Amino acid sequence: MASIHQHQPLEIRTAAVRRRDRAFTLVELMVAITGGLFMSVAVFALARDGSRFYQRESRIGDATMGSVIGFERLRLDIARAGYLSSPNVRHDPQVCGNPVTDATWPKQLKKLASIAVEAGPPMPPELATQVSPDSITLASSYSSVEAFPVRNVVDTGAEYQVYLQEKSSAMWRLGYDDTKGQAACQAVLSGVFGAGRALRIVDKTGSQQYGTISGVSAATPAQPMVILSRAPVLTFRSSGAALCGFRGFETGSLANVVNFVRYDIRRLTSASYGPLYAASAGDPFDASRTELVRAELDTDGKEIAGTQELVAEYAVDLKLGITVVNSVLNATDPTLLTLAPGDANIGGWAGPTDPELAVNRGPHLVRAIRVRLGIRSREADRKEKISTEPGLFRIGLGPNGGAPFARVRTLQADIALRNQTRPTWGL
Amino acid sequence: MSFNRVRQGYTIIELMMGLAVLGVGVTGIIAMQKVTVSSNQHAKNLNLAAHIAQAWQEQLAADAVAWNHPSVKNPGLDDLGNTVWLKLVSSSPNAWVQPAYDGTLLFGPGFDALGNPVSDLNSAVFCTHLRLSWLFPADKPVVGNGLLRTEVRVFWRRDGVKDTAKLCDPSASADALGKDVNTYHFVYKASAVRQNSPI
Repeated sequence: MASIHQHQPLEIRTAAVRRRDRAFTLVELMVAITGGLFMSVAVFALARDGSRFYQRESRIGDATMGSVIGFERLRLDIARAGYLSSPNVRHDPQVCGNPVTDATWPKQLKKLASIAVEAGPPMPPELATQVSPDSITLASSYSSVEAFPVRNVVDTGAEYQVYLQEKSSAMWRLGYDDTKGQAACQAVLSGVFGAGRALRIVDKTGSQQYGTISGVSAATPAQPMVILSRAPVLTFRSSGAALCGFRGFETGSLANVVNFVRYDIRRLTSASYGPLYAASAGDPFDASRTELVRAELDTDGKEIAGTQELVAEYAVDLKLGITVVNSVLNATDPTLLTLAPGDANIGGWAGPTDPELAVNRGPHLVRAIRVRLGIRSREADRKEKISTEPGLFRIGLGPNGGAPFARVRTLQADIALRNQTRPTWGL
Repeated sequence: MSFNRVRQGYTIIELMMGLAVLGVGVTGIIAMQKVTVSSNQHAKNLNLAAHIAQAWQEQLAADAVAWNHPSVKNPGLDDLGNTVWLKLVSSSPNAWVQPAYDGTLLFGPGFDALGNPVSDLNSAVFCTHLRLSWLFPADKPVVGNGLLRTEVRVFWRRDGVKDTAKLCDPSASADALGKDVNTYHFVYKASAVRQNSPI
């Protein structure tokens, strides 16, 4: 470069040095800024779209996971329905007592059945035009798999005291140990025989009686006791007039707990779930959120405090179908009939048994449940709906179920009721 | 020389290299999005297929309600033929078969994208094969103790495209289709179904 400068005239060298040292012109600057701006906009848009995309995929991933978890919980409970419990107490020939006419039977116990399918609670206005979820009430020995040997049943006039055999394998497996003191023993008993639950006692003739648990006592730890209220009144076979009932101390009878569990789609009401809604109170898509809720009912049909559980967040639909024994040839060759989710005749087979269903129908004739569960993504990120029946791909969260639409994951499967393959009474 | 360099803009080579780097980056992002979408879709399909397989196993368990004999009371009667699905073990023992749709049970081999059973196999997104085989015959070792191994195979196309001609074609060879792992994804579920307790 030095040699170039040396051989150029002075005025040319001066101009060259001036050009080299000068700043950008306004035009150059504007062009550069404009170009940079376009580049920035493109990069920003790409980053923003990428970020939104991954958020959306994450949301639908959450919905998928929620549907899997919720479905598995529901499936396990349904598969176990009717375990150590009558599939239909009103028709069960083994039941001692008359739940139909006896006014001392509490409301829910009167219609004890392994399953009952009903219309669920009303949905928020945004969803009500799109879905009408069912609810299902199950009865089974969910708190324990054990049948506990009984030592004695005492009628005090005010209550029934059912003494359990402390030295039994069932109590041992429960973890009941009288050396641990009254409080520990009481806690172990309460965990299974909670107040409000039903107790089934099968006497030595195979006859069953049901009572309502009002409490437990381990005041004398070696004499664990379950206390029953007088609703319903139990039958004691004190005279020849009674065709069934307890005789003597009933030592050797078996007692087990029966839980009523209800699944439905609704907003949680338990105070312990308050923070769940408070945290997203301002979110427009959370105003209409509903969940798959599991709650335990007492023998009167009221929810037992502290049993409300959130099984799957943002659940929007639960539809149930049934497979039933339709007819029996020679009482041993049943044929099956399936009623798809939403079929208007489901209530006639698996609806609540109070009032009475048709004589040749009832929940004891149900052999399998078809469950369809829909879980939506938290945010509505779609403007258009994909129309499909039956089942949901998207659900509108706007006014009257319009846009925007949230995506929905739907899972469906049949679940056989393995605890009631035999009862065919009524056919 | 350095004076000329000060004046020059980017060369075409530099520009092309810059664009190439940008292109690689953008392509990577788009490719990641595609992978995320297909992974999510595949996870969803796996879930649905697992539930369809489970639903089939439960169907077979419920079907056993109609299988009560031979029994101690009636050792001469064989009523496996009263079942809807389990009787396939008589016609196709230990072989993969595609069962036919049953209009009474509203269930069959084809399922839509949400896992609903469909009667029109041309609209099926998932299809199913069964393989039934005897573990214990109904009269041995004890009468009324029949036990069947039940295997379910749920499959769907890898490319996600509905193939109405092949996916759920009842005349297609179930054995050949089961080996076509390049075209289909498969989920298998095995269980056993016992004869219903004699009444």
